Amino acid sequence: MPMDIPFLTIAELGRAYDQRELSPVEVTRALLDRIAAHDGKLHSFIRVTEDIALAEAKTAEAELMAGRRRGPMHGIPYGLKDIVETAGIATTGQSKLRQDHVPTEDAEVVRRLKAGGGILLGKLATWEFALGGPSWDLPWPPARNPWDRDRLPGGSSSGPGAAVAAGFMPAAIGTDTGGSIRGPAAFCGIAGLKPTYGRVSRRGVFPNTFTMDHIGPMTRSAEDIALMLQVIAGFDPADLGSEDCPVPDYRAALDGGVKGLRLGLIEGWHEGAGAHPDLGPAIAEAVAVLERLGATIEPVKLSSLRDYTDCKTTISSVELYSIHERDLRTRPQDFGRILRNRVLPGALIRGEDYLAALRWRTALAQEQAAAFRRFDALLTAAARTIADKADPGQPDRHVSTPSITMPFSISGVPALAIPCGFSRAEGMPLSLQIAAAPMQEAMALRIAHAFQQATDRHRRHPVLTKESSLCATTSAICRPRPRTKSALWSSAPVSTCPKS
Amino acid sequence: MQQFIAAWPEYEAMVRRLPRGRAYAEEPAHSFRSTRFAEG
Repeated sequence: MPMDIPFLTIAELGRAYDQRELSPVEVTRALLDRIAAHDGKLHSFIRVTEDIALAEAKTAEAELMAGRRRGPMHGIPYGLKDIVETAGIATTGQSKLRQDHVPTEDAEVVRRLKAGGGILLGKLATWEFALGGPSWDLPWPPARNPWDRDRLPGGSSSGPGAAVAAGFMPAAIGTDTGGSIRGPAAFCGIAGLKPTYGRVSRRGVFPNTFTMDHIGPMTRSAEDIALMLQVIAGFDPADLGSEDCPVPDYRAALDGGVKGLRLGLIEGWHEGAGAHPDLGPAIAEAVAVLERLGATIEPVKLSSLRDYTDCKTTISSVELYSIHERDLRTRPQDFGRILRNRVLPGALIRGEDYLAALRWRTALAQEQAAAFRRFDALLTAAARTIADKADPGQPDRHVSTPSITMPFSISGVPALAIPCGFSRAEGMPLSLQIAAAPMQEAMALRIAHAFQQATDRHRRHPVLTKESSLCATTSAICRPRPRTKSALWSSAPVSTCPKS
Repeated sequence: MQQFIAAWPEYEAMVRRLPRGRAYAEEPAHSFRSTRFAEG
């Protein structure tokens, strides 16, 4: 088993704990060392919770030594996008408006991760309140992409995307209203799942909208998405959008393979003007892999990305304004420029227009429901471009650029991003998006797992150097390092990537 | 404010593109469900 701690998966860490080859304390110290060495250039953290992490690691270590395994996240370090509330730890939304806000209660997702024995490494960067960004006028700088520090990790779960890709943690919690998990996952070459609306409780997560917010896992493999989702999914009566549906065994469902599945490849979304030239061939190659594994692929036509983006942005603009109206009236100067400019239009959209968009949303969701009666899952890209350059002067394309993630925000169905290749000129990740019917996360994960068992895209990681966080433009696989039985349970610090 | 004024035409065009004239039975997504509160 590879023992390069920064890039071990949740599944691999669990096995290493079981075999006493690693301990949670050893892993946590190694990751904290790596964060200290490299995050000064990546800015993926707003706050590192070192003391909490080490205390939780010691508790997990003692419990695991005593044979008490709480579940798949026991002893696993993770991070939280900084709109997820943590009792006693500042939760800022990366905004001046909330930079001193210290919640008194944990978000439901945090409560579940704590109960599952997870180890909180810290609070991670976001665009301002999960929408306004990338911004250079906030109290913290925007996160950078570990594949190329001159580029951004996408948003708004920018910190989780960068931190997981950089090998700072195997897993993080992101949020997704229009693509904020899937975009950063795509741009950073990791896996990210927007679960079904209502699958994971929103309680204690600062809202972006009232009808399209989703909380979900970001990891380096589909298997790890399944393991983390197992812990955070489930009904919460205190969240009015929460669905009271049984939570299946996501790990057990991974191994079904794709033989006999019918998959719809959505026409026109990942091709054409504005799409990266290497994206079409990368998606075609991924489709060919799934066909070789036994799936049947057929084209399917849905409404245009322009339609979906207009519908989503009309709804979200109004709901966003409702959320921020009071602060906008009383503290407009404390908003970042981009967030303020995206909140203001919501004041000018009429109720009639909002309802027209909500009624259109019903029709668009029904269009997808019809497609899911024909197909087990739908395939497209998770991003039409590679990660943007970090350029404070770049114009805001919030409305003008059609989004390839918003269609599944509209319908609320589960949608998973996984890496499927790299651009030739820039060496930046490209990503496949797999969407399934409501509550069928297991189907999307099963397809992704089959793809990842047959390929190595998800095993490629950026290389961070000590002097800077510049990474190779060609991908590199961190070499497995042979390990003997543990130094571990003695908690000795361990050096991390051989390149670091 | 100048930036907002510059951005507004794109929002206005977006709203103009919304389809209108749906049948009354075509209700908004996320319509009210009273049983949700009885359950909770």
